[in-house]
Amino acid sequence: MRTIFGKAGLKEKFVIVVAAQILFLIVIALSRFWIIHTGEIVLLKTAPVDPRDLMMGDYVNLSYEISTLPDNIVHREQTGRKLQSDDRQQIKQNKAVYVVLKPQGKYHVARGAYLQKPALKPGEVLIKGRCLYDWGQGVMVFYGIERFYVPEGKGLEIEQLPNQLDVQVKVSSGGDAVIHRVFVNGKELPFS
Amino acid sequence: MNRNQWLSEQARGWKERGIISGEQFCEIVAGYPIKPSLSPTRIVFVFAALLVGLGVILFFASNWQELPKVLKLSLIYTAIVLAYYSGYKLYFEKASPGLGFGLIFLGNLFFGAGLWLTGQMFHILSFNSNGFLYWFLAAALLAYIMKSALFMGLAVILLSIYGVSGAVIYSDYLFYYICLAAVVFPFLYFHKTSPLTAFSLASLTVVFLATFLNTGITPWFISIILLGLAMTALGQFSYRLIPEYVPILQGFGMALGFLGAVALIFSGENWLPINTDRFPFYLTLHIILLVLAALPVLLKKAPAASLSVLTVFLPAFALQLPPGISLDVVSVVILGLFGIALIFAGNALRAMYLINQGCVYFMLTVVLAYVHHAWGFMPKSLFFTVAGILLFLAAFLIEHRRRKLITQLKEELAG
Repeated sequence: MRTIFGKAGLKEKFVIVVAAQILFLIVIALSRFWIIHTGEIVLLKTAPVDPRDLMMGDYVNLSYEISTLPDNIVHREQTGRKLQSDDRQQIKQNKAVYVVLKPQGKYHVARGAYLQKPALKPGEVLIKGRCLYDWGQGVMVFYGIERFYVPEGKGLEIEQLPNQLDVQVKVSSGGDAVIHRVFVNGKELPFS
Repeated sequence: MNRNQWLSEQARGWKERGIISGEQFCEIVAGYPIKPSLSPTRIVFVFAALLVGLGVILFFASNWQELPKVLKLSLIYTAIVLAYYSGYKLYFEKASPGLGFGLIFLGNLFFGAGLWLTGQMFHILSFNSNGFLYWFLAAALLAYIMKSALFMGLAVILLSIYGVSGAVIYSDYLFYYICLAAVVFPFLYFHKTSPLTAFSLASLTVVFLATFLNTGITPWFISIILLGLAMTALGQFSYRLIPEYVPILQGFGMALGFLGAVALIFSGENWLPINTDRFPFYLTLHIILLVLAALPVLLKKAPAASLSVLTVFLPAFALQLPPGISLDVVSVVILGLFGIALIFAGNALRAMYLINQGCVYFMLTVVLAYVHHAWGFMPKSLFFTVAGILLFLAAFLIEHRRRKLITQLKEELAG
C-alpha cells in the first residue's frame, strides 16, 4: 500500500502514539493516587487462607470475608428484595455488584450487596466488585484487591508468621478500591 | 535488499539512461511496492534491545521496593521517553535507521514493562488480561506508522497471549477476534508479508482451539477441521483479490484439515462426531463451508483444479458405512487420494508448492496407515524394520515422480 500520509505526517503520528502511551500510564497512576489521597479508609479482615497456598511467587493471594456474600444479603434491586432462586440467571460472571460496607469494631463488614448502585446511610462505604460465580448459597465477588506484591525473598517472613492479615484499602466515591496498607498480626508490613 | 527494492533501483538507472520515461518509471515502482523488510541488521538490533530491556527491568526490579512510588514512575516514564526520543531521532532523521528502529522497539517494550510495573506498584489486579490488549494496540499502531512487520509480529504475540488467557482463564475472547480482523488482517492485506501471515494464522488456530476446548465442546478436533475448511474457502475466494495469499491460506487450511482427519482416525468410536448430539450442527456447518469453498470454481473465479484442496475435507465421518468397512480405512483412503489429487492439481495449475505438499501428505498418509494398522499385531522390531523399508520405497518413488514433474514444469515455464 502506498502510504496515505506524507513523511511529515508519519513523524507527527509517531509522536502522538508515543505521547498516548505515556499519557495512558500517567492516567492509570494518577487515578490510583487520587483514590489513595481522597478515598475512604476501610479495614478488611481476610478470610483464612491455607498457609501452603499463601505465597505464589512474589505476591500474596488475598481472600476477604466480603469476598463471599451469602444469599440473605444479596438484593436484586435497591428496594431491598432479596435474591430469589430465579434471579440466579441474573448473576452472570463478571456482572457488576455494589457492596455496602458498614463499620463493625475496627473492621468494615458487608451489610448488603446490590446489582444496582444503592443509596448509603451515614458511615457506610460503597465498594464495587464483579461476580465471579454463584456458589449455590451466595455469590463470590472479585474486587481487584486480591493480590499484594511483596519483594522477592520477603515472602518467607510472612509465611512463617501465624496468618492474620488485615488489609487497609482506600475506596473512592465510585466504589473503586486500592490496597493501601497491609498488617500481619497487627503489625504493618514495611513494603506496602 | 529485497526483489522490489532491487527493481526500484534498476528502474531508476534505466530512467537516467533514457531507456524508460519518467512516467514508465513511476508505473513500474507503483506496481512493485517496497515491502517492509526483515533485514538481518534490524533483527540483531531488536535482539539487542530485548537484552538491554531485560537487563534494565531486572536491575530495577531487584531494588524496586525501596524506591518511593513517584520515583519509580519517573524512572519508567524517563526510560520510555529516552528510548522513543533517541529512536525517533536516529530512525526518522536517517542517521542510523537500524539502531533507531531497535530503540523504538525498546521503547515499546518499556511501555509494556511500565504497564506491569504500574500495576504491581498499586497492587492492581483485574479479572481480564487487558494489559496485553493495551500493549498490543501500542505495538500495532507503531507497526502501521513504520510499516513494520516486526512490530506487527510483536503485536500478534501480545494479542495471542490476550486471546489464549481470555479463552482459557476469563472466558472472554470475542475482542481477540475483533482485533485480529480489524487491526492485523488489514495490515497483512496491504503489506503482504508471508511469514507474518503464517504467524497470524497460527495465532488464530491456537486461540480458536483454546476457545473451543474451554467451552467443553467435544470432539476437539472438529474445531480445527472447521477452521481449516474456513481458511481453505477463504483461499479459494482469494484467487482474484489477493492471489499472493492463496498458497498460505490453503496450505494452512489443508494442514489443519489433515491434522483433524488424523485425530479422527485415532480417536476411536466414542469420539466420533456422529455420536454427539451436536452432529447435525457440525455436518450442516461443514457442508455450508464446503459449498462456499467450491463456489469460486462454479463462478469461474478460481481454477477447477483447485477443488483438489477440498479432498481432505470430504465428510467421511458422516457416512453410514456397511458392516465390515471401518471409518478409519475409508479416512486413510481419502487422505491418500488427497495427496495424489494435490500432485495432479499442482501439475495442472503449474504450482510447484501443490506438488510438494501432495508428496508430503501422501507420505504421511502411508506412515499413518502403517502405524495405525500394523502396530497392534506386529512384533515391534519387525514393525520398525518394515516401516523403514516401506518409507524408503515410498520416498524414492514419490521423490522420483516429484522431480520429474517439477523439471517438466520448469521447462514449460522457461519455454
